[in-house]
Amino acid sequence: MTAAGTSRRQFITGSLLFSAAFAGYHAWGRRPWAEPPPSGELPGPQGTTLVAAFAVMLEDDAAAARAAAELDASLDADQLEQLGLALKVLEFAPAGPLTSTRFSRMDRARQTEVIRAWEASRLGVRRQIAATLRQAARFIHFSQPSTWAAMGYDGPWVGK
Amino acid sequence: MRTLKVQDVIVGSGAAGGVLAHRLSRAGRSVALVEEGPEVSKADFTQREDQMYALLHRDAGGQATVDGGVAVLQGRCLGGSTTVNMGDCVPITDGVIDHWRQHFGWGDWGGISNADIHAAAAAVQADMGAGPIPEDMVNKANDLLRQGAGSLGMAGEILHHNRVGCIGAGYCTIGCAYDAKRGTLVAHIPAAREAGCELLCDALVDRVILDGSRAVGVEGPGFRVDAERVFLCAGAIHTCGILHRSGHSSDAVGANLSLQPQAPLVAIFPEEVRFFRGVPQSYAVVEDLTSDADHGLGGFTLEGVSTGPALASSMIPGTMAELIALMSRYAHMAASLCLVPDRPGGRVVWGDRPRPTIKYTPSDDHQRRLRAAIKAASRCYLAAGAERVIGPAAGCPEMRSEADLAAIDTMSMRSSDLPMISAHPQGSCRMAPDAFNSVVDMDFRVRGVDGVWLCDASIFPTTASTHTMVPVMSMAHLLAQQVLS
Repeated sequence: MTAAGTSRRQFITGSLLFSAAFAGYHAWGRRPWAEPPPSGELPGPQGTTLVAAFAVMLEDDAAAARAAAELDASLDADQLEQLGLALKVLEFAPAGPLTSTRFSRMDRARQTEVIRAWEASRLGVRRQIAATLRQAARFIHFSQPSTWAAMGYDGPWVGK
Repeated sequence: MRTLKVQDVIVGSGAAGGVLAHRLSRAGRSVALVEEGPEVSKADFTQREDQMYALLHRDAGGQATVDGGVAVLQGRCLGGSTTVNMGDCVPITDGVIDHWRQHFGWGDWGGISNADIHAAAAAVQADMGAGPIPEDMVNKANDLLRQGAGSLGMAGEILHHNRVGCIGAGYCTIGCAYDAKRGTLVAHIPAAREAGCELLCDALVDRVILDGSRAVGVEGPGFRVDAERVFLCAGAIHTCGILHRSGHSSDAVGANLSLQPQAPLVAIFPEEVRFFRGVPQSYAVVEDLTSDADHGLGGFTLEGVSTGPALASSMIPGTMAELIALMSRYAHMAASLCLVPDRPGGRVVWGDRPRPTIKYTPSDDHQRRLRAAIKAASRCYLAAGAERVIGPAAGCPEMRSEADLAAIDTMSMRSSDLPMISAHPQGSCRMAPDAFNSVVDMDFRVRGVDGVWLCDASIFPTTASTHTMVPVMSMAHLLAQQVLS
């Protein structure tokens, strides 16, 4: 038993309900994504989260925007839905369901802390989201010819 | 709606489907070959990673286990994974076949002897012009691995491949723009088409059409193929999906999945290596690879490998600043894959979504052998003169001397920390005489339905080989012999 005669089970249940309600308020109460997403691309707010996450991964805003646009254009509807879900979690619960600040509104230093924490998190889903975003950002970035010369990579032979 | 009526419809144009189409159509059967991915040819292969992974690989190379720990690479184009593999030809060993005979009920397999299986392997390798990689095509990166292994007294071997007229551009995994790599795209499908085989590309088979308990064809969005016989060859992940969507309810569908995960390891040398040129995979350290009737394939092997900058950068841990510094030495890199045969224990689950859930957790034994493999590869590179070896897992320090290798013993093996690759998913629709635990009987027939044969890597009871192309093709060759007789 805990204070005021509340059982441990009631306390845990109450906490979970509160957390769920709080997360729900943040995720849906403000209706940030009430507009249906345009076909074939992430809706604006999710796209903003993606660019912000990629900017942390690539440490370069312009490269992040390019990579996010490339990724956006390459995914089908099912993949976009899954990515959108992952970005929702990152956006509205960057440090757990009780976080009051959305990821995209944090400053870069704080965003970087969040991403680092997710990469090392004990929660597998957080590690997976962070790892997937990191791999995608890097793959897209280093597939651009503008990055090749610095690596000593002379690019495709076809057409030469 | 495109409709076809043929005697045999083959789903999937990879190692099994391509060989079957070749054999059956050249024997005079009317055949349709249905491929989910696009029709491609060498003219389409731009050697750009961003374009080619999207065009040729399933999910642009993004298919992965549910925890994201293992990227499951499969081709999704004409020729299937044989269009995007490294071209290695490694037949099933006697040890593995005997393991299946003794432990999985394959017994005498209706009179098919080990010699018959080896003959099948020889036949499909002959189709592809396969043979040992010439010494002058062993690139510097592979040679450094060989030098290191040699100085440590570790046994190794030159691999066999299916390249004829290779110029060493190094883009095998994103399509050979020279038709030198002779996967089914080059070695089998053109001849099948010449013999009258109909080809349907961009055609996702939704389900097998049943008339009672008998299959009468397949269908998908915009097409239907009526056939007397249906051959499922869509690979260990997606054949399960076709069976699921066709109402096959056996719990054995999707079970016993092996992924044979491989961990990549990168070393930096003082001199330029340019590992991205030449045959990517020409040498393997096989000192610790085992194969016997009691255990099947075990131990580990280390294989030289190369990749373009995009894939390489996505697999290397560390911050972006660290990565940029490291990638500035890209031309000095050598890399290997630490390949560790596993035991069947994963599962492919298909639900209502268009993609499967691939459940897979490496066993403790697998992780133990993987650590040993990573350590052995690191030791080889240091012995060959590497200035440093990059720890494959997040948080693992660079290794510059033997003393640093102790870090491997304690490095994180969590799926998110240690990125792994599987190019050899196997075993999700096991072939065995035991009806309870298998999907396919010993004649390649899917249980519970007439007129459906299954032949791809999903039928193997355990991991068949370190490279599955030739084992799968061998099975297709044997199946073709069986149905044509």
